[in-house]
Amino acid sequence: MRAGDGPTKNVADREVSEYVVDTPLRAPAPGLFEVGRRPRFGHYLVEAWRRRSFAFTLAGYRLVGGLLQNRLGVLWIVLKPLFTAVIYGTIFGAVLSDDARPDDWVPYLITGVFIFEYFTGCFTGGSRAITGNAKLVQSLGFPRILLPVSVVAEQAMRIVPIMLLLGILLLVFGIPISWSWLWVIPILAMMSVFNLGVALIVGRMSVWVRDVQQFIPTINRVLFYASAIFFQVDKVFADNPVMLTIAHLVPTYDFIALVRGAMLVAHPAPALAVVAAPIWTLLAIGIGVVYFWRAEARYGLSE
Amino acid sequence: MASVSDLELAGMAARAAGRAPRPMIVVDDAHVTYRVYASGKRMSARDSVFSLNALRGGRGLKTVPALRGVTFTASEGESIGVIGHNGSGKSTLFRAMSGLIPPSEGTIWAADRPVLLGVNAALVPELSGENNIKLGLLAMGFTPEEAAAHIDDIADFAELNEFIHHPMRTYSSGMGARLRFAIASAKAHSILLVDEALAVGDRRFRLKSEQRIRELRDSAGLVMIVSHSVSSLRDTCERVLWIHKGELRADGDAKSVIDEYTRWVKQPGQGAVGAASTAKGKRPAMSPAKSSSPRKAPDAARIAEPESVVRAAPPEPIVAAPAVREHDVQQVRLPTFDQLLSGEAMQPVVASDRKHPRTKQRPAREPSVATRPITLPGASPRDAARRERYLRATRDRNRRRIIALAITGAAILIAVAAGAAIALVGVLTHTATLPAPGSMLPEAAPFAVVQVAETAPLTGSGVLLLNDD
Repeated sequence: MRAGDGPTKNVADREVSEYVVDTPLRAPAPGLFEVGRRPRFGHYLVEAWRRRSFAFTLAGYRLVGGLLQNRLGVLWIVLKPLFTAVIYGTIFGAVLSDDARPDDWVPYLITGVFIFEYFTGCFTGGSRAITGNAKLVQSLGFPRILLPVSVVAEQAMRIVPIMLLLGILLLVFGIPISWSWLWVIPILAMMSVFNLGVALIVGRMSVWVRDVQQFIPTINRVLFYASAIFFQVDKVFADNPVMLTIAHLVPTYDFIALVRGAMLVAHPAPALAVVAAPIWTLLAIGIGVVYFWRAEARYGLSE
Repeated sequence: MASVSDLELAGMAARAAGRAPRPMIVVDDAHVTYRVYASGKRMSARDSVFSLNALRGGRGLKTVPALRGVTFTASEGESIGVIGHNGSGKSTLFRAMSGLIPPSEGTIWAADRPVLLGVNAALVPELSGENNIKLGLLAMGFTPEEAAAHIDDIADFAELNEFIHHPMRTYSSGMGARLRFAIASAKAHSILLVDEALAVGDRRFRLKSEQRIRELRDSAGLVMIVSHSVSSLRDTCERVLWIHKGELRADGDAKSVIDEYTRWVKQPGQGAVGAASTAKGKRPAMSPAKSSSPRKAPDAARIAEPESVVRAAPPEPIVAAPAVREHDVQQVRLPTFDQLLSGEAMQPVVASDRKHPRTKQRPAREPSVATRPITLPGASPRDAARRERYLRATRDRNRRRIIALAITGAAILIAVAAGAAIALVGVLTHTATLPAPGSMLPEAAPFAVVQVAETAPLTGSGVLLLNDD
């Protein structure tokens, strides 16, 4: 097998050399390929898919490992967003007058907060996916895309108990359970893909410009206020169609609105959000994967 | 696994048949440059906060050339040692060869993805050793079932006993090294790079892992080992590369290169002076552009102590010369790849003489120095071109940085403008809409009055109107 020529060897020697070549330039001898080049796009994705269990295992270990050091352990997955919701609920409940509040004030708020936390987790985690795992990147040769994937997978594992909690809370606050709640699953799956795209983009950016990580809390804050978590854009911008359209196009708002539309009867999702969310998802994942892949060979260089 | 044993058979067959061994790795003029966010000089606390540098983000534009044009070819069935003092670029070379760090210039060719086995291979510190084993195996491409099957073997080999369930951050360096070695050696690789992986283990484990390495080498096509233990290299390798200041200073059979290296290590002051002393002493493999070398070379000449070293030098080549010449025959093959690639592989020898007219005693000494015939190291005629390329790269980087800065500034401005615009629109719409439901009248009245007052000629009537209200 080995004594043969290059191409057949590469095909046959699947175990080792699949994750390798980009451009077979002028090799100085048959059977040699260039090291340190990014693999071809298709190969890259195939290889990443083959090693996907690495990403998921890493995500699981990270999730458990990060929580087990605390006394309350896994309970924190649920406690943290709960506290956030309580705080926002009290503060904004005290600040906002009754008529400024949306109907079903508490369910409206906690749905928004929980879904938004999912995005923030992926966004922040994605920015550290490569830089926080520099040792791993420099010592093992696996498709780097698996690191952002594991970040999103970890956050997705977190969101499952949170969504269960949300369902219970909604029932407590008197929202009727219905079949439309099942829509949450595809919506969150779509949101995961969107989050992955964003994590990929921000993951690569923060490798080259570390400042991105400093800027992310600001972006989060802006998005928090732009995503209509504690107010209703339709009310606020009722007389300003331009602003209303812009507000409806904010991607995080779209996903939050979709989930609200599925779970809260009183707040159907605007048509624009239904259209915009898949478009945002496709854009994010498409740009993200290609953008991330283009720097594949260079992630090891970061300090 | 099947493919690996096939490889092994093919390799052995080739060796047995006496065929010319197939090249497994061709490193052609590889450069690696690290970017480091550091000033590179000592700074007081105040400097580091208030300097212009810090304002620009503290990026003193430090590009550290870790490798500067290394060229060699390694063939199957070889075991090659790599020596050099700390920070000379050995580990960088290995990382570049394994594809973890892309060469900034030049190319590295390999017949298979080389696998690096290093001390630095920290996995995830928070996780237990067992989980790290699983992760490492999965990252190396094992399926979950295979990984699960191997975990116990690896844990046994690492002999960590109950510590295998403790988080890896609690491990001692030796324990960590054991575990990493056990993980990395779990799979048979056809190109194996061992980077000081055994340095920290205890004696018992070292023996065990050397045994493991021998097994791996027998099945692998090529093994390269970085080690500071000269004696173990002499035992295990037939060929040794000497990396110095990021350049290949010598490449030859183990004995002569190691002798050369140990002699260099023992020379007084060599370790401390580093670049300067070598620029003066042996054939300079490193680029003479180093800022320290022009300054230090006259110093050394004045002190005249190196003179004695130089005079003591002639015996060296005599010892090493035969070995070198016999090796030269073997090495003739190697430059041909470089010639194929660059077409100028053989020039450096000639040009290096021309380039150092600074020290008078060199021309007499140069031809006799042993390191010279041991393949082509520094490729000195390319130095100028290389420096030119570095400068160009630096300029490019600067330009890119400025562009990035401009874009950032523009983005911030746009963001601020957008925010202001949104706020403005919000304010306007609010004043237009909010009063609408109930409180129209009380607010509208003074509004109208003011408007009247403005439009009316500035007479007493306007004032009167206001007063009236």
